[in-house]
Amino acid sequence: MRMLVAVLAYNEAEIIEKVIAAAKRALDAEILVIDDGSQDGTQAKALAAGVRCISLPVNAGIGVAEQVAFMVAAEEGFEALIRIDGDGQHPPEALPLIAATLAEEDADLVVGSRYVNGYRQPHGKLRRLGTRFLSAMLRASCGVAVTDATSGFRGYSRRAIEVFACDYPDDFPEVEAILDAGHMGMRVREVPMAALGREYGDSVIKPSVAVYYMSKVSLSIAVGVLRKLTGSHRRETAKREA
Amino acid sequence: MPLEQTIAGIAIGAAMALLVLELLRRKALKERYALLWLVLAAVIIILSIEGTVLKKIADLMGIRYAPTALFLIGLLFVFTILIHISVVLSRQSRSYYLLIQQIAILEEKVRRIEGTEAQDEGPGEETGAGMPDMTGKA
Repeated sequence: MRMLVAVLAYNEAEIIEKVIAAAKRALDAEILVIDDGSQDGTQAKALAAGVRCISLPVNAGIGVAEQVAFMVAAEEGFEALIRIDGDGQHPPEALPLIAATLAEEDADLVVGSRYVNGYRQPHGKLRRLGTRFLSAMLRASCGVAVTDATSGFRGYSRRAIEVFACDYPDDFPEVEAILDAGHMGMRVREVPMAALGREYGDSVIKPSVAVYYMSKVSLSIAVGVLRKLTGSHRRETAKREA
Repeated sequence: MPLEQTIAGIAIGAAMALLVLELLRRKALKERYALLWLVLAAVIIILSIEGTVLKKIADLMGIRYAPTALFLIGLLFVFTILIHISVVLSRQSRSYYLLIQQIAILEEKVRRIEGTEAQDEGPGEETGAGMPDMTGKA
């Protein structure tokens, strides 16, 4: 199975080489760094590590950057895509498991979860509560049961690649992507992974961002339900997959 | 409607129209986005001159003080214009992101092609990856 590993990076020059090296060791696949407009020479470091690197001219947000990976994978005929964050928070050891699940289990979206199989993770109570809330909302709205809806470590099948190359949320895309996948009848699976925590840089979630995050994602789930009720997502699915 | 109110209404409407026209003249505003503002200015002027129309509208809505209806109509217009602008903004951000993505993909493609060409000229092996010496950011 021809597989592409997309490493998403924003100002990760200090650690990107380590992430690339670990990913290379873990899985035999082509690696593509998507640099979301870094100003610290992340691109140079990635190229020096001997992998392809696509750099957005400005910092446009994680969804916009990730969609580039879908576009490239769609155009170049990759059968599967795995997204991993460039800050070292995702354990590369989970790459083979995600790859195998994509290849064997006929899954369209494989999510690396910090919560299955008894893995404990370093997040606070509030964050855990938020994740639980989102999981419950997802289950109620599209019937997909995941324990770690916000995890950015995930694998996509060819079908998911083609769909998301055309339409993907701009910011905080993780939960919405599961919602879309659920509404479109894709098969979503979860595999366990350990959470390593960011090795460098600040945590992305500030209180103001957290409030925006929860509001935005809740709204998009509600709108998703509305679209399902009015049948607009079905028409769009047909159009997107045509 | 008292004369002062009529004059004030006309003045506000005219000032709005003049501002929009001046922005159009300087090409700071596109005609497409100026139309709704001009319509609002026209409505304010017309309703100020034709007090009876405003009175009728106010009566219909159960508003005793007619000028209040003028404010309400103006507010609804502004609401419509802002929603319109938000829709335009959403559409434009989508095109903007698409452009960024396409530029980035093309830039990498060019870098790779230039890399292979440079390798064809000199000695070197095919890596399929970008040339490490092309590190400059656009």
